[in-house]
Amino acid sequence: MKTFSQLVFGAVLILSLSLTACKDNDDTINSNPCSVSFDQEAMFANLADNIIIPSYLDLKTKIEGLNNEMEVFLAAPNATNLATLRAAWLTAYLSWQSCAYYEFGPAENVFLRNSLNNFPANQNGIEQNIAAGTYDFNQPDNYDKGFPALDYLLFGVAENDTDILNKYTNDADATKYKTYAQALVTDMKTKVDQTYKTWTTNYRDQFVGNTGTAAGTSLSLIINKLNQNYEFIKREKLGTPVGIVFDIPNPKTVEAYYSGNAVKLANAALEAARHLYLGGTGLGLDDNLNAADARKGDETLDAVIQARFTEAIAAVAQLNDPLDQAIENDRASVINAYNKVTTQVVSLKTDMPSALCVSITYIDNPSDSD
Amino acid sequence: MRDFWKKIVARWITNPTNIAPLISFRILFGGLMMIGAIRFIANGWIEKLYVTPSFFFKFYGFEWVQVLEETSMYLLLYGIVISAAMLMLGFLYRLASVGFFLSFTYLELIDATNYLNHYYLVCIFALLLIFLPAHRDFSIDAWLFPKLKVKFVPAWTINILIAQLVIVYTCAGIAKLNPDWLFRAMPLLIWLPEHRDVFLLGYFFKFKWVAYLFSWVGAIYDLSIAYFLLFSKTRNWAYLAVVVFHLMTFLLFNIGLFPFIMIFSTLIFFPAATHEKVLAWLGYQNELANNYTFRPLNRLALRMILGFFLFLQLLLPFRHWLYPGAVLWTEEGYRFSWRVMLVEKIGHTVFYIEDGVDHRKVEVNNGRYLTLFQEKQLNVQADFILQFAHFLKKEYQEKHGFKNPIVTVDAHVAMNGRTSQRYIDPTVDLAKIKDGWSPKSWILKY
Repeated sequence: MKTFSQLVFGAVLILSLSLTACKDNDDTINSNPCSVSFDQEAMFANLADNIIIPSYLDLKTKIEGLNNEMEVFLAAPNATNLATLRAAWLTAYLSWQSCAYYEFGPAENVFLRNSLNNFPANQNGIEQNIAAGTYDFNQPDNYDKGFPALDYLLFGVAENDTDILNKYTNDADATKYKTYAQALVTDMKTKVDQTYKTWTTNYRDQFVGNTGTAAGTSLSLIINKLNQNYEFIKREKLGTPVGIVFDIPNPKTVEAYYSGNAVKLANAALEAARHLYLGGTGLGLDDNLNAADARKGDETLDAVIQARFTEAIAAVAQLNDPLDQAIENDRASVINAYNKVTTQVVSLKTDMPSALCVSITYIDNPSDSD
Repeated sequence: MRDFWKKIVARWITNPTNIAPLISFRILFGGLMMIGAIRFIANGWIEKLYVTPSFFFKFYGFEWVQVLEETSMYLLLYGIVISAAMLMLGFLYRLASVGFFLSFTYLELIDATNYLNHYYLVCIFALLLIFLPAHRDFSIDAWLFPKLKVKFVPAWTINILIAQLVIVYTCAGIAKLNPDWLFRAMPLLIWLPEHRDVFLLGYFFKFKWVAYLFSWVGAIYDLSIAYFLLFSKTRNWAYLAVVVFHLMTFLLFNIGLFPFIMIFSTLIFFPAATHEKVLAWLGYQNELANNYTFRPLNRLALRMILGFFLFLQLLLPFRHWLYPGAVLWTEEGYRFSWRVMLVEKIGHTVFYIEDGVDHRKVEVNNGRYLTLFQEKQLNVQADFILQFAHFLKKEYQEKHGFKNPIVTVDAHVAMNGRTSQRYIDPTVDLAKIKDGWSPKSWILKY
């Protein structure tokens, strides 16, 4: 009896080994999966000290500038001051595009992305807020605050510049408009200041020391949030306005619709994604992937990702502001840009986390697994 | 030869055997299932898994199983809790076992997204219990109707559970004999380092060789443990290994009740004397003489049914040999085969709907219809992709005025630490493909 079962056992073993041993010479395999020996701390230190914190510092400075210009403008609402204020707003908005990727820890605590860049702005909501004189900027789902609300107040609140200025001078509700405009900037400043402060006081070290690949580690946070914001660019900045989902263009949903700066902002966002991926000139995700020997066909995965960044950035750079008009006049090239941006999603969302052994955590598993 | 065969039949099927192991099994299984269902409710999983989603993935052939509205879902779960408790207590046993099997299986059939091998194992145990006389002693039924009480039952009533466990372990072991598991330590190389915080053990998970060690030990364990449990000389040590192994998996992985299902059910390998001793602490004693009577309605029918059941259990895990391609990639024949913890996949699937007449083409935002968890499963399972494509065809036809919608996908999957490959033929109109048992030629070769 015993020998019989041993015989069966052995036979099954040999049989199944021979049957399951399939080809293993495929070119998606990497010789150093998970790159366990890569110096994560050095990469995180580089990202924190040379990418993330400088980005926040830049944003903080630009928002301070915006705040100053707002005060100047509200004290003397004239064409010159409006022009300066608008310029300050745009520089700050461009600066924000880099920070949009770090929506974890300090930024997540204050819903920084929702607070600063929920678009398209809800025009009616903003007007109602102004009329009522009461508002709560801590509701992440409201589209009545941040850069998009300022876009409306500084560029779209009336037909032309004279009428816009009028809203802050002779209009019956001028005081209310002024109060709201200042409140918007103050809220943005508070949240950015707080994020910067937390990063520079204690979060930096926590971030650098949080090694590993599990959910909640710095690598997982960086990769997940890079993906989340990259998909946000794809969907909100390009896909929805050009009408990918229902084949009905919605040009009014572009970012910064009233000022017509959507292409510049999208470009800045893509450049920032590449900058973060490369870790500037220091250690970045590219180095981590190369340490893992991640390959895609004959090329390294890093080469594929870099080429796709170049293509995406080039395709968006070909577009002209204002994007809403580009959608109406030359929809094909906007769709082309959308497709070029989209190609990268597969690399960032499946290839990179797979090669680095990080799970995509914004897909939460609500149940057990086996 | 005839004598040999007769001996086999007597030893494994017909001989009277002490009922005690069956009683332990009933109590532990019923109790564990009761706790499991309460845990399911307490974790808010009814809400998350059955109330929030608007779309549900089906098992082929069970498309008719529909989700119930919220109150009824709770009632279904309460039904599971109550029938499991009745099983444990041996109260109205036949009713309880049928009730438990039907309610639990119905729950699992609602959404294939939530398929787990151990839920399947529970369904099988529940099905078997319907036919087993596990209530014929130390139960409320036996207390109410003393006539039911027996000391002996035919051997097959215990051995069929043993056979089932042998199949589970052996098949799980055979499934591990693949190059990724053995020679790349995948996916443990991905999963273990995620647990660097685990007390004592965690420190070692950063070393690659540990993943290899765990992979090989795991494969050897699965392949051999059932046989070590079968032989009395090795049984005690084997059971210690069962406890250590499954407690370790419980500590490391999010696998719910599975470790306890295995730790409890493998007790069935122990002889009746052991069970009697343990049950005695609970006040169990059976002083009956040999009152062995077993009168199945139709002995031949019973043997045929049980034989067929075991035959199916032996066949299903190997049906992937009938399909071309690697089963880990295509997942054709993946489920119901004791393939446990074999792959880590990350996928990304974009669906395109094209109007068959005016050829306008749009992209689907999957998140509009699916939960994040469903999306994750959709991305890596071809039959889900097909089901969703059919749903989209209908949706876009009825709600968005598309005529003869053509549904195609841009699907990529990265498996076990590799970079991604295209998963589905992007030129195939999935709206025209019917699901079935035949090989899915639209899954691209791995």
